[in-house]
Amino acid sequence: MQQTINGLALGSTYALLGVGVTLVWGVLGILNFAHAQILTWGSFAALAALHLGVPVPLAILVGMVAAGVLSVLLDLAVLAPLRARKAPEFSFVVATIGVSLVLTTILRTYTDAQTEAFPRQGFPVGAFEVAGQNVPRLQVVMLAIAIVAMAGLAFWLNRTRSGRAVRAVAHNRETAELLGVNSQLVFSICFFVAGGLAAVAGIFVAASAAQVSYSSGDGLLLVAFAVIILGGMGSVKGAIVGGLVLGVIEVYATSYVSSVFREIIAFATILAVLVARPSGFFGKKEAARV
Amino acid sequence: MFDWLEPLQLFRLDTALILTLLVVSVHVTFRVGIMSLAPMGFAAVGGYTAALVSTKTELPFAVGLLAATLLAGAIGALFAPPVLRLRGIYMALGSLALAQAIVVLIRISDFTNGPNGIAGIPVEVKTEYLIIALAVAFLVLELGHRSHFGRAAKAVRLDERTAEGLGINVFRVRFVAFTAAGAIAGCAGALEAHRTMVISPDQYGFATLVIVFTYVLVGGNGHWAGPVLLTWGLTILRDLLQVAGGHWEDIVYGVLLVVVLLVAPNGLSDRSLYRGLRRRWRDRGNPPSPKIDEPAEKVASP
Repeated sequence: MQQTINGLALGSTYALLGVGVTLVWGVLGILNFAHAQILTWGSFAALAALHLGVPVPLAILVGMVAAGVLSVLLDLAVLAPLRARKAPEFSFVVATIGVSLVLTTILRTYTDAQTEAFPRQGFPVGAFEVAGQNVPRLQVVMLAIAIVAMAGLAFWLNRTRSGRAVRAVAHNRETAELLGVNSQLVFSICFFVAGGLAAVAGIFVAASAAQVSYSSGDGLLLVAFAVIILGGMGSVKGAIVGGLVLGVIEVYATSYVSSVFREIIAFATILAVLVARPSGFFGKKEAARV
Repeated sequence: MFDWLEPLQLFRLDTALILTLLVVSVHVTFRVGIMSLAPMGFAAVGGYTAALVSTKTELPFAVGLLAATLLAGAIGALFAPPVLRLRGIYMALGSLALAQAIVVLIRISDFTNGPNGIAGIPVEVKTEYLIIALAVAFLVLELGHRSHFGRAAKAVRLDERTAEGLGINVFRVRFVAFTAAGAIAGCAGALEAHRTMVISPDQYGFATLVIVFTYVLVGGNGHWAGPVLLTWGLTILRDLLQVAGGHWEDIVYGVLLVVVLLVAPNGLSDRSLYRGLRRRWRDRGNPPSPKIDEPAEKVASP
């Protein structure tokens, strides 16, 4: 029982990560390797704000806006020209890998490759007891944020006019443009939201570890990809379920089999799901993507 | 044979030659349209195989090198069917997961000495060996380039369905390329291990992958000579500019990769790039000539 709760707590982190990735990857089909760096830059922006004595909610907002702006800049400077030239899918992958190297190196130089302490004052820390089990507060907040973000995204994508525009652009950009949708605006909005969500995930991960470094996002990126693949492409609720399931699998594998398996779970999940059931839990079957 | 070079120069020459082998490995996969992010995983397999053979047994270096090449090739062949089933970014992701799984397995296994890596690998690699290995690789590449297989590979890259319609076994072409790329990367990893004496799981990461990708994509995906010449050119250039090893190097490579993807998507050895530039140079100062498919005004008016 306690293991399941630990798993769900870890899974909440993953779910929050997944929700940030699912918009750009799941909906728009762009595999953004710079997502981890945007997450890390957002955490550092929040850290800088905290050092200035800004209260926690405002610092989180600062981190979100910084990461969102960075994310939009990445889209405008690199991905939009690639789209305009109808570059093959792989160009996006390689371009974002290049950008991620540049962003990592800048941050590494700036921080002297040191791990910085992340102040936890103001964050909900500690644990409370439910039916004799310890439930960590921070992870409950993360799960709540993930679910709120999921509900917000689902409402936005399915029920509002601009959400319909996003889906139209995802389905076919040229047709959407002919119908009067400003596709660049749609991309900018999506990248801003994705960057903001990445920053939230990064800040909470930093708060739960009480530290942050230039490379703290790197390990999270493939976990986020595993969450999306497990949950199913383009499915927002899949990101939550995939995240929770991955967290539980990881904790079970660590405690019942061997702790050495912890690091390999995400990669094994990606390979296994891609080979066995490429559409994941909730994804649509798409032959072209298999 | 290379005694006249200073040790530092020789060291850099060897580095560049081994990097060239990795570049060749990635080029082979790109030639057939495989988006593989796995080369560092195969290099890790090769490096560790060679290192383990020479530190734990009495067998000579050549046996270890052969074992490394064959094992990396075998792992490539084993995982080719599932990875080649995937398309586009899923193939990129699947191959990256494969490479990361290999590196993590090496890091958590006691047999490979975990995160500490292996030290005390005998230095066996001489520059002559590297040149011979590369010469063999180039010969095979050029023969492949001119053969039926080379043309089939190009057809597969340009249009998979048409290639299939022409009777080319697309899967077989890709399978051969993926396996060969694995073997070449394994060989490069083994040579690197026997040159630097020390290997650890962390060296098979993203940084080297970005450098290799920069060479391959900036060099262009037409003929193998493009990426190879670019590798050597950039190695010389970065020695002249004295940026080697610093933070700037990573930034320069990242920016170069992105800029070239934006400006010359097919790389710098792409002929159509120069055709376009030549046309622009020829038309300098003159107003652009009217496009052919636009009807002239006089014809359009009745």
